[in-house]
Amino acid sequence: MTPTLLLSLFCGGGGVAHAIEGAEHSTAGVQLSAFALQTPARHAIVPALGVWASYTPRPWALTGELTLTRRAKTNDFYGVSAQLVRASALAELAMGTRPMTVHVGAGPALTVSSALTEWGETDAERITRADLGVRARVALDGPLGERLAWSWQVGVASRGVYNWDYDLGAGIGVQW
Amino acid sequence: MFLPLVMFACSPDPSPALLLAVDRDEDGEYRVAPRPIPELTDAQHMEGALGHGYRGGRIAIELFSADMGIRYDEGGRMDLDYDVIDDVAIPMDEDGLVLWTYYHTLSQVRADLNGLGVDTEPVWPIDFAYQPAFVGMDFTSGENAAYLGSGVHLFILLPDALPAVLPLAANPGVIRHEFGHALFNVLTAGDAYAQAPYDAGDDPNVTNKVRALNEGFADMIATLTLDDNDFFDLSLPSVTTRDVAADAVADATMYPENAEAYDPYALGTVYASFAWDLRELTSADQAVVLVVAAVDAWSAEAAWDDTDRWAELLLELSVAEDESLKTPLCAAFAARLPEHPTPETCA
Ligand SMILES: [Zn+2]
Repeated sequence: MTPTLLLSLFCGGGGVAHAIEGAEHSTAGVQLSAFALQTPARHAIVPALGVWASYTPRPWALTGELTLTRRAKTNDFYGVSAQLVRASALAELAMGTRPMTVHVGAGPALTVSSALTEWGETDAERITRADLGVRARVALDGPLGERLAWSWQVGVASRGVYNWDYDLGAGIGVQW
Repeated sequence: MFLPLVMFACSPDPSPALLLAVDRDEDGEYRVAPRPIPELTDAQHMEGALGHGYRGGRIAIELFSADMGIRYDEGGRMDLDYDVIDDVAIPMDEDGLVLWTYYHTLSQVRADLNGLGVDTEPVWPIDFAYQPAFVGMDFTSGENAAYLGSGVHLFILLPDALPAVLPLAANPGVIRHEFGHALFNVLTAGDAYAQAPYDAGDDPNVTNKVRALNEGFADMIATLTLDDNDFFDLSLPSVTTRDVAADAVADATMYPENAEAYDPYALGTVYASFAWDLRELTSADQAVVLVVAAVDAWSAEAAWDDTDRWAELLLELSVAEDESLKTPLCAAFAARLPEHPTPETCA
């Protein structure tokens, strides 16, 4: 067995080679994250679900994200459940070759928080609030075969000036 | 330019007329209800005449100082999310309910005791640390509230380890208990920031014995000002040993000379139960005034090594006020402290 044959056996099909050729690509997918959510007193760790779409004409990229997270606490006296939806648009630098592209970007973020506070027998109020802020992230993505793509990212986003949330997530999606 | 404008537009009224808090109602039930907190001038940042709140920060032992004192490095400013709807502040987070309950409880206990002629003013202001980090200290309590004396004069609130129950930090009895420790410090050390004399000595038995009375006194302040003999039941239904209307009786093993790992709560509950006996014979208000007066008298004697002396003084002061209490209260004393010689008042 020659070294060349070995290499071709390990590399499998031609999907990777195909993706490297393009100077521009797009990805979109679903991402699962751990959010360190700034509460009035600390950072609460909560899971988050998001979708992303990136258009990457290297060395630039444009990424849009939509993320949803929820935290709740209920006892005999009260219940508080809060949802948070964040939309962000990032202008990014995209570096590296296609098997792994590094994105470093920043942009504006709009976060809508909605909390349902319940107490007593029947009392309840829902409060909804929108906060503008900034979003920055460092992300890696790459192909998984011919049509699929993976992503990994660490990021930060603010709600207003004083509340800063952090996130770490990984996702799977499609590329074209 | 744009961001600060948006923030300012969203900032809620800093001193709303009413805020949601857990409280004991007239019917004896605990529930969340709108309550005034006049001393809380900034509900968003938890700042007011009773003290300021900080988020995080760290509590550390000053290893290189002469007295190995404890220090608090302040955390950031609190920043609560809420909205005011029909004059009532509604929090968007559990932290708001916990913190407003805390502040409302302090406001209440201040009004209750000052109204009875017990001067609580030397206690205020007292700052609090919400979820601080502990450096070099063995502080493992997952969910609790605490008073840090020893010259620091600070409340610590650790709100959220157990799901589905009322956090101890939002339990009005627990907050009143912690306030009781602060008041005990003022009554015995003379000043909120002073090092207590019984902590300065070399004898751990003295320190531990006073700890027992301190825990008992804190429970007396909580049970008598709430007029609830078992406030723990709200948060920890499984803990039944702190019910002051039950049959707590002192025995030799409850004194630190005879114990290895000392538990101050056992003897503390005996003292608090004796105070509850007095409440059964009089009223909660009358009992709390006498309990404080007895600590004052005991402190004046500096009888740090003899905490049972506090019980004798309570008996003495109560009987001096109302002679008819003599027989039933002497019986209660004998029942709670059976190994103690008969006090002079009962002879
Ligand atoms: Zn205590």
